[in-house]
Amino acid sequence: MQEDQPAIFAVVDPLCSRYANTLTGQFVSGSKIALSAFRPITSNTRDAPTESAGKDDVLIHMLQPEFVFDDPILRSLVAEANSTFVALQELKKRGSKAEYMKISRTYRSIIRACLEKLQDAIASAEEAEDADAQAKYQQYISIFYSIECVWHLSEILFLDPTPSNAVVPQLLDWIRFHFPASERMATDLLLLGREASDNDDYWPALKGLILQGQVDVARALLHLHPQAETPHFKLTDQILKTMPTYSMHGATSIQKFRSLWQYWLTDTERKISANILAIEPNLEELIQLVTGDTQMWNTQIQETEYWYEFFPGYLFYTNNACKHFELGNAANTWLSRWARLKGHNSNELQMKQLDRVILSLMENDMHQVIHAIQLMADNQWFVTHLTDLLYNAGQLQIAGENQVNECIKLRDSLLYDFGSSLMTRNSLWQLGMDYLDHCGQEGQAALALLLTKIPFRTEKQALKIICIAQKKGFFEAEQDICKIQSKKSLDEQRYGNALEWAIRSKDTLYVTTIADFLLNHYSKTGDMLCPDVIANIGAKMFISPRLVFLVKYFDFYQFYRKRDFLPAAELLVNLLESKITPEYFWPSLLIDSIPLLESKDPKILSKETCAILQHLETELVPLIDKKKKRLEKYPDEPINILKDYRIENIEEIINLLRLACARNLSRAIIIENTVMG
Amino acid sequence: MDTRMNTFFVSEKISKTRWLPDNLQASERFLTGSWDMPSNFVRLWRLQQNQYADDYNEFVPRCSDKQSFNSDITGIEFVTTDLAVVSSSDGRITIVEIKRAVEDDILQQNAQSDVLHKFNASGDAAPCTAVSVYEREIATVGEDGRLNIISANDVNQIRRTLEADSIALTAVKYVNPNEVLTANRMGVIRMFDTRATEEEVAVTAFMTSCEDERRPNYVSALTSHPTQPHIVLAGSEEGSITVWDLRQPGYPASYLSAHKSAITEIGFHHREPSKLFTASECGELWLWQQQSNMSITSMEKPVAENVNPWLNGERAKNRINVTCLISNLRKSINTFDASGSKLICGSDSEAIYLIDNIY
Repeated sequence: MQEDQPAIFAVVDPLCSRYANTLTGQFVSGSKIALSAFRPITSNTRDAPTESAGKDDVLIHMLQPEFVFDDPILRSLVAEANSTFVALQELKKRGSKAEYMKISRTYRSIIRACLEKLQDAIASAEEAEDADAQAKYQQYISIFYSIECVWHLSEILFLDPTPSNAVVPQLLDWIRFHFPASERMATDLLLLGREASDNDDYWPALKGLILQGQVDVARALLHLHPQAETPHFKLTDQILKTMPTYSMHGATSIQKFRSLWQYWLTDTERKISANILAIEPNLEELIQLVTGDTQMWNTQIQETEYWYEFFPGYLFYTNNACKHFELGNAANTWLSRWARLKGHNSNELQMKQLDRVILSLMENDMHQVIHAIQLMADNQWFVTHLTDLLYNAGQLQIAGENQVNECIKLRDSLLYDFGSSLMTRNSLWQLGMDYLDHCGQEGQAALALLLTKIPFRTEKQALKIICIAQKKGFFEAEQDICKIQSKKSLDEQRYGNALEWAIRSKDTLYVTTIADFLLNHYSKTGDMLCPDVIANIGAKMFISPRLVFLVKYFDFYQFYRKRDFLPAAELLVNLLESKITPEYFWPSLLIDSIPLLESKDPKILSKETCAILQHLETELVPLIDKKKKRLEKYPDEPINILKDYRIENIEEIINLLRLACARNLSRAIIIENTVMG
Repeated sequence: MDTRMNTFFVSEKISKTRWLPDNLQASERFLTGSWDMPSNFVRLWRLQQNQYADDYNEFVPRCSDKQSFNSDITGIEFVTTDLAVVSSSDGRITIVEIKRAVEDDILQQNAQSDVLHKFNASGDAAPCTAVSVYEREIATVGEDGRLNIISANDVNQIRRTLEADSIALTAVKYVNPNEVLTANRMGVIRMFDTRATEEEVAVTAFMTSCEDERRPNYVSALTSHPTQPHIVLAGSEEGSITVWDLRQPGYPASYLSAHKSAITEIGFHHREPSKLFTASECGELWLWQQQSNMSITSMEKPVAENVNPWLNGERAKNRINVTCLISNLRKSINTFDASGSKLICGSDSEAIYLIDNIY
């Protein structure tokens, strides 16, 4: 077999070949590669603009492997196979043989349905005279036809072993399925009844059936012949009827079967050499085939296109009890005979890929099979699903250092590649997820990373991805998406939206930053942004002390605006006591208390007044002193302290506050004591 | 109940599906809208008798016509029996018309609005997230927090536009000709009177209940009872249903925990208000059915029987049966619509599911 050459792609970019330039490339998301012109730089290269700088356009070429599943027909194949794949995983390697057979048949029927749809598509492309589409669908058909053929054979050889390990009957099924011409002819002929033998197809159909080992159908056709009652026909029928077959269930021992067969063969050959059938050459030909006559088969071989076309039939007549492990030798012998007769020199036999895969399968060389089916242009769909199925059914045999480990590694890496290639294809990410989900820790990690890379355009999609991340416990992915959304909203000046996304991200620092922004904005302009959001935060505020402060301050602000002074005053005092007031907000908060303190009928009791005074003296004043000292030390710094307040204003405010406290205290004490009295 | 489910793979993630209204007989045509595809389509389907009649698939949907859209379809609602409004994530709405024929029905685009939803700062289009229709009035909401009222006769003339919310709106529903409910990503539902002037728009707001107050819980689906429109049901992110009686909107009338993940759509059967369906993000479809025959020995007081069971608070659960129609799909069921004996639903598994015999 020839060595596989690495594929070479040419990139048309004049800049790459000019001067001393070459090409550099880098992987970008998934299997995309970005290529651009590049000049190797070493430590002693002069750091100067290249001579072509600014003259030529620098091109970036994006390369990605062809992806067949963008086509709607193949896309539905991926979607359907995906649900079968998951059903298979749910068996958890403990399913019965029947269950795995069912899964395998489901996969195959999906491929069959897809092939049918492709046929329809070709027909409508023909109608529309769209040659490109026709060629495209034709190519898909040849890919998926091969896939179905190989899958079927693998199913026979690995998933559905007979108790006796004999493979011939199933091989006959397989070949009948893939070369249905003679069976179709026979069906038509059987419907014709007695007139069948007048049809031109009669003898070719019979021969075809015999070549495929379908003895029973052939006999039924023979019975339709008007001369069926003549001795020749009767004899033929007798020979075919008495032909011993090896039971799939191993009821007869192989030695007994061999001796039965030998007896029957000798008897039949004797009849032929006695020229009993010489006057009916058609019948004689059939019987010669049945006896495995070399000359006869050689003639037939020369008319075949595929090496394996008559192989199962030949095996049926010459080695009926052939076991799976003998198949490889038999296939090779047959292949060299076929090649010789077709005039190929077996050393330089140019086999098509499908031919080679089938041979490897019969040789039970899984390494070679997997290697070959990886090269099919189906973006690894087939190799991934087949390997996974065989692995799950416990039928994957890769000879390695340590058998079990090799298999799981191979299967996982195939799932990983297929899953990530779907994940990076924009709209297929939901299907890709399932493959990554079932290939171990690496898959989980890749899933967590790739989830955040899905380009989402709407919040709905973002929420969908978050839902998935939550279910899988990918906290970081969830947080990333929320933060991206929050940042986007901030850029759009949609502060309420940004705040909600920030709360979802559960990132305390991030929430604090946005709450700070809102408080700052308020203390600067007196305008509260997104009041509807702040009013509804509720218990979610506890994620950040700053947010708690914002919400509580907002409550105060609401009471105040509704002129509901008593609860407002209580809240304000609470806020002062709470120790969560941000430094820059102190002046604002204390200024807010002045009108309450100056009210004619006291809103704040004496005890609370004292508290305010205490906060003023122990928190704001020391803060200001600190800032002042700093100012003296670094006189060049901006004169504003506490953000927007200039030092003179602050001192005035402090004095005002002290005065207001004193006056309120006097009023409050009088009233409180009067009431008490 | 003997329900049958058929699956049809359509190579598209379906975001919305709606039966065409048919007055007399059971509808056999429906529309689907797709999302997150290289190119998105609204398709018109028709159920056909399966030629290869096996017991399995009695009907097979066939796509009669399609209209291409360059962004996700977010909503489809019918204005008349042949006109539907389609909202999309480029902030526009489109009126499509269905021309019924014996052979192939035709789907054509009649009108498309300008961008109705946009972000103020950048001027970029904001996705229109939901649409609701009352007679010939259309209400749309978007991620920009805006509520627009548009007449189906001229989609470019915005009758009313309200800065309804400062965060993204997720759902909208007309409860009567003049009052529209909007729901946002925080779980707040607001009611707007569309007649009131800009200054005096009185807003009633109420919040969905949530198992854990500290968890975010957006309203993911909204509907009202078909015959008693003051009963409003909201499905939420955590998978629960909250029910309000709009005559007493101060507190929820019932709170029912249901699915394990966000409810993607909630809706009553077109003609039988005793049946409610909910679909969820984790691929479940449930049927909630009012128990019709109350036994005489029931502990319920006669008065309570006259009250709609949805308003029955904790006791609601005793008077409603839940049946699981689809489970374990794993991919989100994004939408469904029930009409006659059939229910159609669309999913992220790129398939549509037809359930027959939902009686």
